[in-house]
Amino acid sequence: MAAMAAQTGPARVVVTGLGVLTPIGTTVAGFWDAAVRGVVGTGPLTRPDAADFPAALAGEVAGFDAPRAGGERSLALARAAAAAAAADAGIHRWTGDPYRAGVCLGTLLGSRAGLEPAVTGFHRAADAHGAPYPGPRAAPDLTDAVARELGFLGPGLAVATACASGNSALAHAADTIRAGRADVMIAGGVDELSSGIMMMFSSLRSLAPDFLRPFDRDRAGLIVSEGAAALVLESYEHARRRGAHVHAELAGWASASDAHHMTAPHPQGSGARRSMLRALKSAGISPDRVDHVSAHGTGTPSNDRVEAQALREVFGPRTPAVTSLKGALGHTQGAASAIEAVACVLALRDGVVPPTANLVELDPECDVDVVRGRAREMPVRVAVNNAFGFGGNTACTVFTRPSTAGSAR
Amino acid sequence: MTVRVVVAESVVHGAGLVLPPEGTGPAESWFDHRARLGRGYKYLPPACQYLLAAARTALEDCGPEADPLAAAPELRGAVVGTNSAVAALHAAIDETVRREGASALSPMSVPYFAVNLVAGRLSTEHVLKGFNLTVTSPRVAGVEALHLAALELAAGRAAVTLAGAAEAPDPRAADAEPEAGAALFVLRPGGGPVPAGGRVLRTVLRFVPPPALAAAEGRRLARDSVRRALDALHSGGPAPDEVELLADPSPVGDAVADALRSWCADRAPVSTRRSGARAGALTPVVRLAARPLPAGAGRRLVVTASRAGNVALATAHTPEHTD
Repeated sequence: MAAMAAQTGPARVVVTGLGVLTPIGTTVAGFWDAAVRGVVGTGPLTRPDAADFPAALAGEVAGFDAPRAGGERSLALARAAAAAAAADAGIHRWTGDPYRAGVCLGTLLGSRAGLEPAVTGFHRAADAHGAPYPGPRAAPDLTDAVARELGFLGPGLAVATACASGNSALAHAADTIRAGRADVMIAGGVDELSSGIMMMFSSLRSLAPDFLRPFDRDRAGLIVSEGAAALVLESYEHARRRGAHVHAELAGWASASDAHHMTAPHPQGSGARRSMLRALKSAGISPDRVDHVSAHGTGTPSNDRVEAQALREVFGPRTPAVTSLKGALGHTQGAASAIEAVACVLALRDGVVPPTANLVELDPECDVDVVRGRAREMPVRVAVNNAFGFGGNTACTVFTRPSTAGSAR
Repeated sequence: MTVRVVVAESVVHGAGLVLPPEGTGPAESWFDHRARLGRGYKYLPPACQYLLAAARTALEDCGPEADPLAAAPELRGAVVGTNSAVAALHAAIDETVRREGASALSPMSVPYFAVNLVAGRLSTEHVLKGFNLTVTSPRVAGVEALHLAALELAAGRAAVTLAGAAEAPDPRAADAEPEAGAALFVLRPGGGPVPAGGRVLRTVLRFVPPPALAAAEGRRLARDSVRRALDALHSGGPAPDEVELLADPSPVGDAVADALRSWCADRAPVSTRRSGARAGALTPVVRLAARPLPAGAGRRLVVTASRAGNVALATAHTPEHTD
């Protein structure tokens, strides 16, 4: 494992396992290769069970054969991502103290999406016959299902902070470890395609007609995608004791609330700025040491403008290298920032920042150093991962290389 | 095997309950948003309306002299637990799309399709900029919200947090419990002064894997887990005077009931309330907020279990000496 400084004070949190399922790859290697090459994973919907979706474009996890009906697809995506992350961390069936191992997943809709056909069917039946329907299933099945599969009995939590859910889950899992309430947490996010989420964005005129173009002058909205990502987080001491390979340190995290508007970001990006600054403070890292920011970058006009403004306020006019993977992935909802966290870890490992796919002409109002055209090879020692959601939820995470973790704090 | 238990503690400075009158049917109208909240709240989902009304009551409950939101906005947080706050909205949206098309949807209502917006609106209403979190674990989400709020307060990320539960089940859902309303606390860090009329909340969360209960060893582990949680919850304090179990008819509910009754055998009688499988997250918080608490420094213990394996244990008590 990578050399790290001895621990003092609260538990340090390290990343020892990664798992992703995305529209551009269903393995960590495949995903990262596609991300670095700027492969775009969105396009016309092809799934045969998507006839009721009110959008023609989406990002699908191709080749992942899990049914939408019955809420099984989100469960299957979450399980698969967690299993991959656990395997990467050398955890197959947990043999340690089960009460010291937990799960925290973020999701926007949970298993609700998969029940749409049944719910709609029941509503139609109710129209005709006055019959009631069984109602949607709650989201936390996701967390329980993953925990049971791995034999974890420790803290379990499903968090819902809209599009910030993945980062919120990472933050809560990391908090749990740092406070000594667990040694190991599997954390991440998951969401599948659904008629409901597409309808919501369509009603708000937020869907792009062709491509999701983060920070582009001609950006016109987002494309809804599905996916899942999981990271194995451990206390550094625990990882060291079991000889685990450390990919990176999750050095800092924070969340905040805009408390401004239900769907629009604060015009000055106050929640975004506060989350970034708090997360950096939590990591003990000054803004001038950040090399890379994985932006929320949804391709909606107001979000990108406000995020760019917040980035300039935090980092000054010479910002770190910024990229938005949503140009390639589409918006994977509650999974987005978990997937982007995996990308941050890989950027640290390989010293490369993926390009922002579909960005042709940078909007002058988004005057930050956005990586475009092709990937940028550069030393990445500190990466910040941004996530901002409806309802004013903002959450940021800070990742560092394991070899610099000791001095980073 | 070591079962380590984390007890989270907070101090209640105010509580707000918004509940339907006794005997109200699940589809019956009982809440007048215009009277309780004023203008501008018509398009909010009912659970959000209940939550906002509960927040006003809770803030008023802090007393005329108190200024519960005096802390900087960045040091005010919100944590809300719910299982079905927007279930009825989902159904209504579906019906609108089916009958009139997506263009007929109100942009005022549609964003609440995402359940976190219920708590998001609470933050906007009271300028709670510190953090905002929604949790949804079956049945225990309300107590989970209190637990997380206490941990956030203990970590210094807020000076005051509004935490609780809100529910509004879809009246057309066949097995939805008639649970509707909101219960919200104004919480400050544990160990701090308890105001007159305030109380101390202590919470523990556990997970009992349902498949493990098929074997004797799994049942033993579950019993030990619940007993250790109860021991930790009452560490250094007296036994509870009132014990309430809220559980569904499931192996998890049965296992928790057995463990609780055995632990309480020589302490206090257990009052058990069985619910349907899809009861919401509200009742446990309501029971922690309900007045009066046992006299003196007596404690009310509320234990909640769901068939999915989630277990929440919480006590509420008023110290003999308050501010």
